[in-house]
Amino acid sequence: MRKLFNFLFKNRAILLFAVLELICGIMVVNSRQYQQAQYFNSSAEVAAKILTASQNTENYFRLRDANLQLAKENARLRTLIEKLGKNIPANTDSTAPNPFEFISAKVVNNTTALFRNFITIDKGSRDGVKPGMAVTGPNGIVGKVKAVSDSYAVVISLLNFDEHVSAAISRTGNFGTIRWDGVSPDRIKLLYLPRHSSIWSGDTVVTSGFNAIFPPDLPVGIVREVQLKDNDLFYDVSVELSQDFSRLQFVDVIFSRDASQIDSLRKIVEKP
Amino acid sequence: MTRSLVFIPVSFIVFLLLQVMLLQRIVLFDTAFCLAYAGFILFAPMEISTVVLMLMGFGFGLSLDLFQNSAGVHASATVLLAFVRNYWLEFISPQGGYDAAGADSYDAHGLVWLLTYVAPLLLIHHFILFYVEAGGFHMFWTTFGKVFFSFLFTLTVLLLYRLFTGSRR
Repeated sequence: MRKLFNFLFKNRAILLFAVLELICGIMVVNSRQYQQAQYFNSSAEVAAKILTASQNTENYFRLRDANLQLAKENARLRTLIEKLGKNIPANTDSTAPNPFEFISAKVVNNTTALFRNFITIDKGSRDGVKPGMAVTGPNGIVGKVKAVSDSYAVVISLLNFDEHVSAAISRTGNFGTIRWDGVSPDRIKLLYLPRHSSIWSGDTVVTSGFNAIFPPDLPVGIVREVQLKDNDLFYDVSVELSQDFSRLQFVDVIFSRDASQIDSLRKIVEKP
Repeated sequence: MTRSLVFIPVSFIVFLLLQVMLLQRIVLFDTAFCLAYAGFILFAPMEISTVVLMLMGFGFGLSLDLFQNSAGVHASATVLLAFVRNYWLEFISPQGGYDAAGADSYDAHGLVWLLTYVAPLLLIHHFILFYVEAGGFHMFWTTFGKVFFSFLFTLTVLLLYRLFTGSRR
């Protein structure tokens, strides 16, 4: 026994090293599983407050940029209203609830250069934000909420290896999955687009609406490169993101009224 | 010892706030990160034991991970850095050993010694950090670019920091 204690004491540095690295390893693996509830994140009040303080200074220097972006978005929405105005049927049921609602939030922290990027926003469970909700920027989708605290939330960015979103080619309706390849923060890959479908450089990619989280037809980006090797089952498509992630200052969290119903229905269906 | 008791918590907070509020936001060409927080371990007083240093590194790494949502990534790199540091210090010790004066003796042996002390440790730290973040070697060259350019960036910043603050003797 005494020998054992002597041994442990003599090698305490190596033993502690092994234990600490093991803990780190477990944390790394756990935090990357999407289903796992994550408690250890920057939505923690103290962390988020510190981040807010430094972001506020940065925002001040980028007011012009933010104004310009908002003006552009306004113009885009006005055109949309103009277009839709002529097509709204006369007998719209005003009691039917809008299936999607938007909550505006400010970006408190945002990275784009890592392989697993996250965005911290200043709306949390107090404002109705829940894990799994979709987040969109002024020009295109941004990601999904991963964890929330009282007044902050962490969003898993589209620029993250672990994030997949169902997307479709707007012209044809053919769909695939978008996932970042970690190379450039303004390009993303469209995967699993079968080789029989038609795709051109310049096609618009939008959300497909198949997952009940994202409303259909939100902009994702524009197809820039298309490759199809002889033996491939799927196209290799590179999409230029319509949202510039490095300039993200305000985002909208999308609250889907039907998500829980669709989810529970799907669970019933998928049960054998 | 009493000096360390004040020095360590203060430098913990200073390095952490500096990293989170300023340095983390500076990324050159989407590849070069400034990870000057490694200075918290590198320039901690020489007499600190490896065990304490590792606990310091673990605490600091986890705090930083909290801000980046990267649970365990920074911590694993700082723990390794802390584990290796004292062995490396011993290995490159000048003849006659170190002056027992404390933290300031990092500047007492000249720039070449400082470079041989800092550079390999920093390289190890960056290597572990970026490959753990990538989750393996499947993006080897992209990740290697990040390791290399961040290494140059951080090294420059840390040496400048020592030049301006270190020569208080």
